[in-house]
Amino acid sequence: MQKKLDGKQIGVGIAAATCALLGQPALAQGDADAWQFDSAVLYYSEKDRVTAVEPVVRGKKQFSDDSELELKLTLDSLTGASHNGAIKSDKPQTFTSPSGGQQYQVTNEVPLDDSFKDTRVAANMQYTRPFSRTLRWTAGMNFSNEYDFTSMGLNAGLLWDLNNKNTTLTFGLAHEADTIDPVGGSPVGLTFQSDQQKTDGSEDRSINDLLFGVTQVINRNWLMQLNYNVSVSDGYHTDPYKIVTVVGANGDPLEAESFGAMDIGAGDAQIFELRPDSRTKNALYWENRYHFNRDVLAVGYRFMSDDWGITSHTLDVKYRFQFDNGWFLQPHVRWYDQGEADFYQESVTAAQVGSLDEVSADYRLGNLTDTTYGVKVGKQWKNNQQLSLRVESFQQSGDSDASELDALITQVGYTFYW
Amino acid sequence: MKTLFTFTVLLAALAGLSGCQNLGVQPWQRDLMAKPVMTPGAADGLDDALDDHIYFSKEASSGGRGFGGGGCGCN
Repeated sequence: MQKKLDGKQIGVGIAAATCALLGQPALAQGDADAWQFDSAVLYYSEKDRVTAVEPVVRGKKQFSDDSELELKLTLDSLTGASHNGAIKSDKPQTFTSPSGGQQYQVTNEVPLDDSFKDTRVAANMQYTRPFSRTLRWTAGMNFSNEYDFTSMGLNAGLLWDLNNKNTTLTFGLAHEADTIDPVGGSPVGLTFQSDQQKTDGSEDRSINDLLFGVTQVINRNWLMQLNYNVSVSDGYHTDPYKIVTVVGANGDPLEAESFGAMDIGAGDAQIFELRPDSRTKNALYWENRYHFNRDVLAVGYRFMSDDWGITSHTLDVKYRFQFDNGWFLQPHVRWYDQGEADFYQESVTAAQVGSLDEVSADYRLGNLTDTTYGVKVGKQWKNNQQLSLRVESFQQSGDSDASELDALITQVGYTFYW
Repeated sequence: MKTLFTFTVLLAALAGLSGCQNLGVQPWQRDLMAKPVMTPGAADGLDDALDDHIYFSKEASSGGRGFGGGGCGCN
């Protein structure tokens, strides 16, 4: 059993979990003693690659002192194949599995490592309590564990209501400690995969996040939110299971033995990737919600840039058609565009071997345009129970063959009170 | 430097917003705002959290809507 980080498509991470810091909605119904439970099962399936099944349950309770507790548990089961970083070539290429135990050859296809399977468990807790009529504090923790990765995090924040509660300022801090324990050891970056130079022991990464947000009621129908988030991450950022193909002048994969490395077969000049040991990301997020007579339009835009040279734009639009009988229909469109990291290369040349400081051929760091479109249909009953189904199509496209990806997102959700 | 610039812009925007006491509604006009569908992060239940993680795993971006941290080994 091998682990592919790129295979861990789904799961609920800190990024998602700590979203609870913003929003902090009041419970949607009047029964003060009840817990609100949101549950969902996500089925995510990529064509020829990864499949994930992910059940989530979240319980929320508001107490008589207006404090609120939120608990969330996520399971994540993954199977399938993921891109190992190498180019697609009509010449055979020979690779070693992450554990180092096996070799496999690929010709005329995007090289995928198809031997992974993983289960992930994540738990989150968030507690929010008023200081005064206009000031609330919130604190939370999260934990997640999978075979080769463990993450623990803490967060704390303040929410301050101003202007007759028409403006809410949010200030949040989060710290996360990750431990990465790659299957078969951590590869020595930029060395040949055929040599299997690896170090024992685990790798670490720490992430500090700051979030600053303003939520403003514009008028009876219109709400706007603006957030700024900076995330500083130090430590191991390399994907230990990703490699980069060394190619000749004609673009064909070369042989490891011509560089003095071990010969394990044809086209085996593949080096382990290596990424910088720190990363700072800045993100600006702007959300608008507009309530028509019955329908609701939600438009979100995010601009992100980091010190790896990546910039991205994300636009997310949802329109909810609300019907009288509790039914709703909600089309969703998402568009994403990113520019490549400074050290991204689809392959490296023979002359670059030994002279690079960092390199990755992970298509997720290259130029990328993604589109998602789909629809959600749901029904809410008088007692606020809600059942919903969403089906979406997700497509990625970039400069490399590996970036061409089609996936289906299906989710069933059920909200109830207990 | 870029961060500082962004932060300054944001502070300016904030100052603008805080100064806009004319914006907003009276407490008795909050009927629509009180609905979950008008609450960022709550309108679609668990969808945002699941989406953030899908895209965190498949793209080089994260954060904005909430913290941008990791929480999985996928990137």
